[in-house]
Amino acid sequence: MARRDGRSANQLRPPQVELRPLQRADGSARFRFGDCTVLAAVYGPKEPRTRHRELCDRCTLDVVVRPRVGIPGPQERQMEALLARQLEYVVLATEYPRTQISVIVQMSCCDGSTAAVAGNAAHLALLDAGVAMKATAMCVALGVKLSPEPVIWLDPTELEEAQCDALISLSMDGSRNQLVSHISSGAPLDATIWSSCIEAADKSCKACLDTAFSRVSRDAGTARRRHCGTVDRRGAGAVRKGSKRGWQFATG
Amino acid sequence: MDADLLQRFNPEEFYRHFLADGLRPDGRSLREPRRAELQRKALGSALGSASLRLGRSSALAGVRGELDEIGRIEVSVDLPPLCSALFREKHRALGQMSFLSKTLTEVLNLQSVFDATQLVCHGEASWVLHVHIICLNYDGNAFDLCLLAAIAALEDTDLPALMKEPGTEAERLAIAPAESEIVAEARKLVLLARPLPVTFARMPGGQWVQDPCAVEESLGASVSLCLVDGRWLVFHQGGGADANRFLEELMPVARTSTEKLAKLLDDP
Repeated sequence: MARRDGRSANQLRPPQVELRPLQRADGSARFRFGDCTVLAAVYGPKEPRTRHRELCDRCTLDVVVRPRVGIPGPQERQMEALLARQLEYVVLATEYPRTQISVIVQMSCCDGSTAAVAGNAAHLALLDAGVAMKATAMCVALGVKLSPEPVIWLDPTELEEAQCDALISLSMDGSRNQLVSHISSGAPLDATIWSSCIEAADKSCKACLDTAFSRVSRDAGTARRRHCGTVDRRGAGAVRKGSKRGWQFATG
Repeated sequence: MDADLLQRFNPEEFYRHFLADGLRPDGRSLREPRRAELQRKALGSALGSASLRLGRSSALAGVRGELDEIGRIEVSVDLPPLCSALFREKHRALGQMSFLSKTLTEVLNLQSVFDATQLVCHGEASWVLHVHIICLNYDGNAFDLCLLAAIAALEDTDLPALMKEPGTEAERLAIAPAESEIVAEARKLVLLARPLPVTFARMPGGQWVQDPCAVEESLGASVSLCLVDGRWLVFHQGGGADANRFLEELMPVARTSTEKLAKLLDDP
């Protein structure tokens, strides 16, 4: 079935990375898939504000998610918990004993796949802050429509999320082929759909990483602390298969 | 070094010694769940209730009914600082609590699990069942603990008979005392299928252990699988897991162990 914005089922919206949009944070990044935009800032490693947050052998990782409007609710709390667990896996916490690293995530435009976009923004902000990490784990969201026949939509928009039976948010460490997190909501799925979801996510996470890394390495060569423009849509992307609307990957 | 000291200061190394022999410090093998104890009708004042122990983890679940327009189940999970020092920080506890509340509400309201039409009373109002779960002692595996307690409490639930309250203009529905004109019969709540959970934790050596305690959960990734009608829901919140082996290894194990859980819930 065709998608509203003309993408095929296994196509991401073009990922865009902007490093260091905030000048006063220790590290910051803005990440977008299409219209869905999230801004993340990292402060630290710094001294914890209260004594009981201090751990003698590692740093405490503190994640705060702010919604686009209003005050944080249960949904944001849940995203905070998920991001904290996800980032705890990648950050080498024992490198920074008795310190605290704060990650602040501000949703700025929500159009589906928000958890994945927030995960990517937070991860890139940590990279920008120069925090030691053992893996690069990018995130992607998938929507599954079960009827009339199972279809997997990569990176669904908000409208598509409403049409899907199940939503999966995945984070993968592509180089080690490790799943960092995956959470499903909605209808339960059988094992074959699960494995094809993981395969699709694996490919798209790698492509996201390529985009992000081309941005990071380009910035490393030029002046770091300058405001940076967004990455060229037709820039790097090794797996791209000649499509103007987005990145396409063969799945299955 | 003294064993107690090693356990406290270097739990990874401590566990590695045991896992090499295929055992865990509490004497279980890798794929052995803790002893489960279920007690139904734990509370007198609720429509249905249950208390569940998984080893040293324990939770109490109670069902409260309210009348509203749309019938549904609402789950709220409470992890007070009383149950573990891990939840001393309100912020950290809230994330886990809202994750569990939202997920359990979603799972129990699935069409294949619960038929909401049985909640309709007299065609105009429906029961909204609030399932409150309080964790009394936390020693890992909150997901299995809360979901099983919620299922047991819901299966224990009796919806009371209703009558029209006399004397009020709108003729509200009220719980009927004996020998009154009943408009909605008393009935027992029925679940179409049981969503059965299994949780694994990944140890430093790469082995997966079933039904982890709090220390095991803190050592690495933990994954909760939930089997609904032969299909799976997966909740894996952080921590590495081999992508290729993950599904093939854990799902068959989970399938056999959910059969044991079904027996526990069937037991009167």
